[in-house]
Amino acid sequence: MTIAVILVSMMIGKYAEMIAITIMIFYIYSLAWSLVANTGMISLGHALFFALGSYAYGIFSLIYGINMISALFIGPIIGALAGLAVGFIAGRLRDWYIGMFTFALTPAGYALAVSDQLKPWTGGAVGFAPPAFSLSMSIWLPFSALLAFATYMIVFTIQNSRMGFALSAINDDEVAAATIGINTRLYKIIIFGISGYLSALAGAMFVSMYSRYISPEFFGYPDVSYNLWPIFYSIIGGMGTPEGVLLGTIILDPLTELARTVIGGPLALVTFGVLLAVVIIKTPGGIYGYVIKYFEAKSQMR
Amino acid sequence: MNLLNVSNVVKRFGGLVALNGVSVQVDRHELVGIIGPNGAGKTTLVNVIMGIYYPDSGRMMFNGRDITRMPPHRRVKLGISRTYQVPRPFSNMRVLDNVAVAAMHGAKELSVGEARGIARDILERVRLADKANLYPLSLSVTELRKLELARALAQGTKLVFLDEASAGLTGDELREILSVIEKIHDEGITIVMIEHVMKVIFNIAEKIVVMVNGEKLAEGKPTEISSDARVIESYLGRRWASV
Repeated sequence: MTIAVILVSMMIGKYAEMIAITIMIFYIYSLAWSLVANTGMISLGHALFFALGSYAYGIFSLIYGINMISALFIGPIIGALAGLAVGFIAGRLRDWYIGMFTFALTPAGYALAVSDQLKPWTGGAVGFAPPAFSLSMSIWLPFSALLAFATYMIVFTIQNSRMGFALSAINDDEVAAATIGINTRLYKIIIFGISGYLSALAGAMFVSMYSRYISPEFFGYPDVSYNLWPIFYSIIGGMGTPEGVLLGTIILDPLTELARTVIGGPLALVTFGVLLAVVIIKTPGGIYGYVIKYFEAKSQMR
Repeated sequence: MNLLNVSNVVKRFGGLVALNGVSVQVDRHELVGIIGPNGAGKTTLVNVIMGIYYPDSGRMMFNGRDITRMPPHRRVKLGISRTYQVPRPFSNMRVLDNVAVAAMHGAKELSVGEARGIARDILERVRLADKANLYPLSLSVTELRKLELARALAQGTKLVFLDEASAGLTGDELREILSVIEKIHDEGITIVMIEHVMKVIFNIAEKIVVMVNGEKLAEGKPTEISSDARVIESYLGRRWASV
């Protein structure tokens, strides 16, 4: 697979390669979001973990001089810890209260990042640039593809394990899940921790291989798009399966880039909002769910 | 020794006293019926025993262990389970996996493969094996009730509460579900049936507990209960009691 990716990156141009890297990053981010969503918890504030990952990576590598590859993997532990804490509270909340609670975290994260007290580390409202990523630019795409594949394997393994069955049961009917012996709160906390780590990893990758700059708006405030991308990509693609999320990211991420350069960021969100509404009404399983159903129906007709 | 010992349990919801000092004992391998009119507190009692609510006072022992304030999932692992009056299957999982997920997280922690193996055996036992690969949406009410039973069995349960397992069933459906219940009782599982239709339970229960207004009104063998004037009064009204 890695060889194929290298071949592709040799054939396509620099700009396309950049977009391919963001697809890998946002695939990881969207998978992380859908892990929690598929446990019945709709998070509207996942940018908190994304931003914590990018800040942790930047601060570890710039201020504490930790090797950048190590910082890329150690930094997201901060995201995991935040995920466990958020999961501890979100696990006690129901339905929309989880959305409201997680959404409220993003301005809080922003406020911390721009605060005078933390300015020595965060650079305040201006943000800061971490040192240039130590990995040679030519292997960024295969490297990010490898991480995306590893994340896919993690999600796939979870879904097909005892834990995955428990998460699916919780998603379906939490009371019934508890009545068959599932420790619902514990599983919700664990999955938030895993999701926090992976979201933060995406944030660290975003900074090291794409933006090369860390800004407080990564917290999803005032620009909510950092919260919304994984939601759009997952739901429109089909959040029930890692394949659906991949499809959503591959279709929508280049559109995001295109919309940002051609029609400007805010208008891109309008298009996605309309698309989301259409998908939810027409095919709740997302585009992937629609495709699967179409082929199943076709094979039954024969 | 009793398998389950509920003593003086009180549960209030605001000003309403749903359970007012209820005591119930269930012996090993017994088949107990709990009957009473709507609002008597039968389902609340099951919810308190399962840990959905904690009682305001009173004590509950299961198999020699105090479960009064134990979280629901831990009670399940000790061997208490229940079915719901309105079946609550996991609609996104096939029938087989509905049972397998219960086996995975029951008294023993099993892998996905082991659990599916056990689930197949159990579907055989409750005569639902031919529906293993369907989704719960396409099951009939009787089949959904069997699925609920199968899930309880998959957990390696010692004691199962059947909340109105016969409600809405008639004729053959009713006979089918009752024969499955008697079969699993014969296999050594203790059963508590919650019913508000008396005739269903009088034929198979070894002991009947009558609840009215959150209190235990009477307890005894079916023959004793059916001639108890207070029970007749609460069910049929004062006029019939004096006949």
